[in-house]
Amino acid sequence: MARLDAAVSLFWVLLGIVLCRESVALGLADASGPGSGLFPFLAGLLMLGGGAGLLVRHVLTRGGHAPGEEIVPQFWPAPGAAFRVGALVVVVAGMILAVPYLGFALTGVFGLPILFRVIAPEASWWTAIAVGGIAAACIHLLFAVALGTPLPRGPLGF
Amino acid sequence: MTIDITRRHLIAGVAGAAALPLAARAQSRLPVPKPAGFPREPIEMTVVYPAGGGMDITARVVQRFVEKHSGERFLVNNRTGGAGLVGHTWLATQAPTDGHAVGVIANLVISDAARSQGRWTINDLDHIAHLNAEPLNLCVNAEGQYRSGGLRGLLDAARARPGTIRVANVVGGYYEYLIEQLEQASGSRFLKVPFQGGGPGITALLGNNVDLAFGFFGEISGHLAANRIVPVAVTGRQPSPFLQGVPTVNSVIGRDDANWGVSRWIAVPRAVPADRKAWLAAAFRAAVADPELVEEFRKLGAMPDPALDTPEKLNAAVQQMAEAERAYLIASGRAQR
Amino acid sequence: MDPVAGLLAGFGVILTWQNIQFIFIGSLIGTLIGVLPGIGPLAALSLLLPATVALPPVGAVAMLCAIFYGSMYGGSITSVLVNIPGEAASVVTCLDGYAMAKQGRAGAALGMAALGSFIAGTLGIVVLSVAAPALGAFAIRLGPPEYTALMALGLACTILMIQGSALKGAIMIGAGAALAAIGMDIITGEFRFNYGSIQLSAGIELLAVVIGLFGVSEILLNVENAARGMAVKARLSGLWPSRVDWAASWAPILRGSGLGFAVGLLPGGGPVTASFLSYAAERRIGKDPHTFGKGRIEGVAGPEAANNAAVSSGMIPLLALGIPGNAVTALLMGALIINGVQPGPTMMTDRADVFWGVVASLYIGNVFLLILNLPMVGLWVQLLRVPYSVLFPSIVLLAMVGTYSANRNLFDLWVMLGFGVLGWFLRKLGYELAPLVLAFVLAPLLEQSLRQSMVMSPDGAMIFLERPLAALMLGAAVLMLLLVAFKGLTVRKLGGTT
Repeated sequence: MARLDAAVSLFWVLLGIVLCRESVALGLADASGPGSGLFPFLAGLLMLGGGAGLLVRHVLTRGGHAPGEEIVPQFWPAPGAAFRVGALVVVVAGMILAVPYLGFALTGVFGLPILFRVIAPEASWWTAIAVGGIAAACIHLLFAVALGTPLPRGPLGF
Repeated sequence: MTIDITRRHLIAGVAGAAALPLAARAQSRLPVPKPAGFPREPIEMTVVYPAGGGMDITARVVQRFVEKHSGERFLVNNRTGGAGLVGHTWLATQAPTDGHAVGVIANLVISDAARSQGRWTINDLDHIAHLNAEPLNLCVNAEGQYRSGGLRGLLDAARARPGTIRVANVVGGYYEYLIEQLEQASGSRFLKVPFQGGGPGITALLGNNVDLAFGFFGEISGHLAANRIVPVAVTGRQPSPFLQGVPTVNSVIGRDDANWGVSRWIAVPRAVPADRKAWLAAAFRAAVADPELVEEFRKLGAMPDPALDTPEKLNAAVQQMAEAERAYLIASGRAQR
Repeated sequence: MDPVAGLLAGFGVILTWQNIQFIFIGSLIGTLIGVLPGIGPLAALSLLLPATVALPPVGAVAMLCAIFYGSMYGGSITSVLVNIPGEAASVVTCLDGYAMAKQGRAGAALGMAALGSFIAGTLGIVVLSVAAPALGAFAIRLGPPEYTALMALGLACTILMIQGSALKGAIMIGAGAALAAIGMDIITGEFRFNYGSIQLSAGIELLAVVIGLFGVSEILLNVENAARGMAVKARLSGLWPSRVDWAASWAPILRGSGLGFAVGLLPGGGPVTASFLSYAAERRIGKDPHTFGKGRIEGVAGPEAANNAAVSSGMIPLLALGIPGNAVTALLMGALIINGVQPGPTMMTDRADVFWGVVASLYIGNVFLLILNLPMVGLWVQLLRVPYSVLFPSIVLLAMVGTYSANRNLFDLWVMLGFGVLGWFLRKLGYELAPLVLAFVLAPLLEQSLRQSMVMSPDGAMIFLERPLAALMLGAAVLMLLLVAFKGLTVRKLGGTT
């Protein structure tokens, strides 16, 4: 974890440098005072300075950290964690892609059972479909029917 | 009003089914035949500014009347972001072209088209029905040091002490152009304090943090009634019917192009079928011709323009507005010919 | 009209069976949208605005107001029970509220949140009814220099919120400020960091950021372990705040009320800022700051009081002056106009019925919410028994629909997912996300008012010294920074905090 932490610190340094350079291009000051780039520049400086400080700390303390700083001991706490997190992100991304074509309700009907199974692999598909369908229906009733939100519609007209 | 009726109204409204009285449906007698199979669902009136603002209020008032005259359901839908740019871009490039999406837009679409970096132009939209227009009102604080001299006095003060008059500005638009014209008239520079819209500028005027601010009637009427601010001039060719005795900027500074203001209309994507366009245009036209809607507009401080009664005339007027703005941008050195 | 007579007249207007119904429905809807992550008061109000056209103005505005403060009550529930903020003003409530829930003290946290909200809301309304015109007149004098000083003070307070590494906190503040810079620079009208994208030109939506960073990331962290269990396995001990809880909470509630009231009074300030600042203040004042985040009831009571007080005081500029201070009150103003009432300084005299009716409705609504929330604490806590596998997919879809409905923009959903992954990753590495959100909210306000001040001043930065209030607050901000820096040096722990 200490290595990953250091790598991320390096990333902040680089991001800070990029941000500062872009901000200078925007202009740090104009005739009346602070320019368009001043605040992004300061933000970049904070990232740059913070990242550099973390790198120094990494070297000096050999990967130690501050009290109250809660770094997880292992990046993946359990076997299969990477799969579950990855699957969840992919399914949600798929749902976002599907929304303009299927509408929210149908997207939920298809997506939620998969999410359910990702989180509870021991449950049966029938349970998953039932739970997903009911949840999607409730949310649809709440937003589209009760609140009248204009939401994208699917091929079935809801 | 008995409890039951209100509750039904409320629930109907909450359910999004602001169920029209059946009588309204029967009333529909537009001069244009209704296209077959249209509309098959509520027509969405897209407002590109947040709910509760001037454009939104106009749209919701119009919605009531267009439902009454067309007998069909309309919904107001706010697509906000980027000071209108996101919504305008959606209308011009992504909105459904089957006539179920119409935009309630204003002449600000012209500058947004310029900001879209060539992705779309105002010709990607068809401008089908004019709603109303209103000028900008120039105001000073009723207890401030410029309260009595009118616009002339303010310009004289600016000439006497350059770089001290603080004016509320909204960048990249009419506020900025108008300030430039005033600067030219006074031969001096103002301190142009930028705000996110006209309302915050008026607030700053009330707190005496700026000396001059511009606002639409809806933004100033409450403060006018309380004698907190004094109108000194209005934009446009004629004085405002809502502010008796207040001169036009043109007459004070001796020009004819200080006509900045807002003009609101209905537009649809260009690709909408002609028969649907014609029906929508007729429906909104019938709504705007309703004396009750004119009265609602008056309360908001805006006036319909009876001269713009057909889509052709409106399209010509939009082109004219775009050209006038472009001419100003060229004259002020902002754009190349 | 003097306040007492006005208020009595207001109760006369509002105490009809029909208006009471509106307030009750508003309180109920508000609690619900507060509980549901994703949909916040702004989206809910704009959805319900058309429904109010058919209602009388007092009833309509009373209902919309009830939704607004109702959502402040409801937001804490999701924060405490599932560590996902129900809406943006309850972000900090997650920190100690969820820790309390894990210790089996969810009931105490929820009860105290409801009571704190009620006390603060009611105190706010009392001050509102007595001093609205005077406070309004004071608030309006404040200009860009005062805001600059205030926002600087607010950002300085952010530093007090950091619990772990100060360096990581600084990075998060920088990241928040940088993210907020994306979009249009209102001072020049130019776009920054949009890289030719129309979507980025519009800036990044706060709601999508909050839901992503706190909601989606929480779900990701939880699914790592094949979660068969319930949200909280610990035994529930007691549903009510104990005597000890009260002793710890009354002072934070009062401080939160005062702080929230002051923040809500100012344009740009609102419940979100108020809750963050209250949390920072409690951490500074409270004993054993290092136990904050591990289940201190002060960290729930203070911020929950502050966000409700901010809602009450936010009504002052709107009702007394016709000036909306934030997006929600702007919407309420629209509702008044649509219903034929022109908000402004004359409203108190011209439409005294509406003014005092709405003020009276705030008292009634807060009582409703207390009645709705306290007995329901036990019921809400049952939510903890819903298995993760049912709860989380539902929250994902809810968050998607809610986030979408704010702007009707699919891009916001990608922002939500992206920030979800980012938040999940950063939390593993000990980065705190609350400073990022606060910087995201405050930095643009600071930048705007600082640059406005510089433009409106003929003699540069002198404007801050010429205006006593601004000078005072800037001095406080500098003092706070020095204090933190000095303490940090004496501790001499690189990366440690005070």
